[in-house]
Amino acid sequence: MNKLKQLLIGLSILMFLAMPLMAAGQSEAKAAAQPKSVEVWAISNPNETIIKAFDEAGAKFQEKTGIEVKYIRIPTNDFNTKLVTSISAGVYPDMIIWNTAPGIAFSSTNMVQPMDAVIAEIGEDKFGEGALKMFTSNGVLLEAPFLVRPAGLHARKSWLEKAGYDTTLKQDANGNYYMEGLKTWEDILVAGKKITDIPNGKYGLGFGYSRKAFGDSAGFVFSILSSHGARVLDDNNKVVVNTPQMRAAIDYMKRFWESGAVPAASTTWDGNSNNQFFITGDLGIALNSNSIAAKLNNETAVKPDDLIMIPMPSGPAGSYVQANPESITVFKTKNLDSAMEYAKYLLSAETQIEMFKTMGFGYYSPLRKDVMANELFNSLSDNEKVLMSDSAKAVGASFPGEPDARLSALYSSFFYDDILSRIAVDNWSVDQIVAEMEKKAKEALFD
Amino acid sequence: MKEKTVLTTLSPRKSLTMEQKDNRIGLLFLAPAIAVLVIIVAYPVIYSFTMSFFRWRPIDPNRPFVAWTNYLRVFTDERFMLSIRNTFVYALVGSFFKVVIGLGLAIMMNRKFKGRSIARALLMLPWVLPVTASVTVWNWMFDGMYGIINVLLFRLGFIDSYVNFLGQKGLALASVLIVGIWMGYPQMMMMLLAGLQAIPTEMYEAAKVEGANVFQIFFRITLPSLANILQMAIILSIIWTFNAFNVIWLMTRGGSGTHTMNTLAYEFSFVNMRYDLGAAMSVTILIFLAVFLYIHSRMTHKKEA
Repeated sequence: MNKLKQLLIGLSILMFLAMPLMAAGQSEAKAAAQPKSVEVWAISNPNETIIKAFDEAGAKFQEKTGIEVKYIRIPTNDFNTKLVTSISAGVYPDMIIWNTAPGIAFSSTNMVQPMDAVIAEIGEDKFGEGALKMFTSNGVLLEAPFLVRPAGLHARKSWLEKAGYDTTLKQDANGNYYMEGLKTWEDILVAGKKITDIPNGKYGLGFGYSRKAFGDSAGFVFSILSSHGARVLDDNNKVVVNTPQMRAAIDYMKRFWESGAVPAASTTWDGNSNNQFFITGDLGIALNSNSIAAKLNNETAVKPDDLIMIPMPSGPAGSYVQANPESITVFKTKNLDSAMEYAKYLLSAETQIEMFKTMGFGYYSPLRKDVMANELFNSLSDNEKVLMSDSAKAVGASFPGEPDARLSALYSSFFYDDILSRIAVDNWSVDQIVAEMEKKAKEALFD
Repeated sequence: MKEKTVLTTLSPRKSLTMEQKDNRIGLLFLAPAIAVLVIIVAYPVIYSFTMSFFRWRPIDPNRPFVAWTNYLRVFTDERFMLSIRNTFVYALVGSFFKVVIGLGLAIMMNRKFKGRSIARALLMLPWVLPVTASVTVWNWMFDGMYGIINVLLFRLGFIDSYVNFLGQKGLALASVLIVGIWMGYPQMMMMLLAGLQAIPTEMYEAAKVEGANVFQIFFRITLPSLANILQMAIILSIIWTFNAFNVIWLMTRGGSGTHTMNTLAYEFSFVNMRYDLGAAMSVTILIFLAVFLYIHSRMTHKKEA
């Protein structure tokens, strides 16, 4: 009996010890036999045509090179968390295609592959100077500019026309698009009030004042701050929150909220809410990515021909829209060569034109000048023209300064969203909000 | 005699009793499970504890030792103070209602009536449904523009205009609390139902014969018989509710004054990329939980004794 016990114990210990060895042996053998591959992290975008365009590009690349492209699609809201936890644990994807500037954010890990050589091979002159500058840190290009998806100011044509607005798209002497009476953010506030008719369920301004509206709220705030000339860091790397520009921008967002044209329920909206409420016919003007246009059809409450894109309005300091371009970030993993090859493939003009044929226009804008000059972009609708031209007004999280990992991280936190929550939920004064912003900015950037 | 002495000197191994031998074997068989527990529980706890004494951000490889600075920062942060208050409100009020509702329903489900099995299954639904699905439905129900709760209250004349349940301070915490209670009462109901079924029916029959009314039966027989299980249910409910994260994060992201310690620690760690402050908060949560676990373990020992 004792011998049997000892035998059983001995066998158990042996098996316990042998399992990891067997697993290691198997994985080594598997790795040797596996074909080359690239793991790409991208968002699980709701627009099917974009998923299709990326899948097709991956399949064609595999056909051409034998390198398999494996997309890991992650919901937008979870992307940053997954990335931070993964990288903290020392697990890196081969490539990331997304707009939160991960190359800049994680530059200090020394795992980000510089992209200068790839861009030099294509020709630096093929890209806008701003796009390259946005991803350059300490003279090294850490991400390759790929596409940009600017937010657009979607509006109900019929509501505006009923309120007496001329919605004809016009161009000024410099070629900038505009609509009469809708040129500035103050104009938008006036228009929002005019078209609001609460007893009939019509809200003029569909802007999420919520920390759940990932991207939308922060994008709105950043666009307003930039258009008012407000910034968080000055050129001397000092926090400059308490400025007349910042106070004017916050005051504007406060008046925007107090206008009564923004639904009270927008304090709990998520990233999809203003899309939905616009499509169901409750909202007059909404700032959102062009995912709204893609969902309109003759069955929806709002018909496609009732949608107009208002060119991005100006503030006292100009016209800007927060839209981090989607870039290609490559990490120094075991699949580095394959990832670089795929990056080159995606950045080629031929691939991008093919992708645009599948994706349609307006949702994304190319960042390569020669792609933009392609004949495909000659016959755009007015709405598409507005979106394309607005993409030139896109600014990133570090605007107007140099790319800064700390500012990228600050943008991904609730720093900007919370300004809206303080206005709408807490009814704070401009002074209180500025004081909190200053404290949070100093904590995040210098602590 | 001489031979025996030599043998004893040569073999220093004491002969083990059967119980000791069994314990050894038991320990050996437990070793893999203990190893797994050390890896997935002890290691992260020690790692978090260590992290809380350093300046530790995922985007910065420099991690200097800062002693108690992170704790000082956390305990002077009004957001954390508010989150402690919210956590206790959420845990204590939530547990109270979960237990009271669970007890009421358990008593109902302990009676024989037609369709009892279906009723039990339906009452278990909140616990069985995936949290994200339930929260999505509740989000829509509480919606300030189209939510069914607003529609009903408005039509019944209780409100003049729609209420922004999740967007107003105080009301938002109450709303997430309602959802938490709705999701948690089935666990309490099941525990207490098991306790009720263990009470001998003869006691009830004797009480009835003696002329006891419903309240006397409840307070003199049911409640005392359930005392042990009720204590356990309350303390477990507090621990589970104290750890709640999903409902609050999915419904408000901690907005409208609903942050609890868990959601705030998560936000600091994974949204603000401040692992150090998040770790200091997590260690604080652990200390609070350790107190509840101590009470729980004392109760278990007392029961066993």
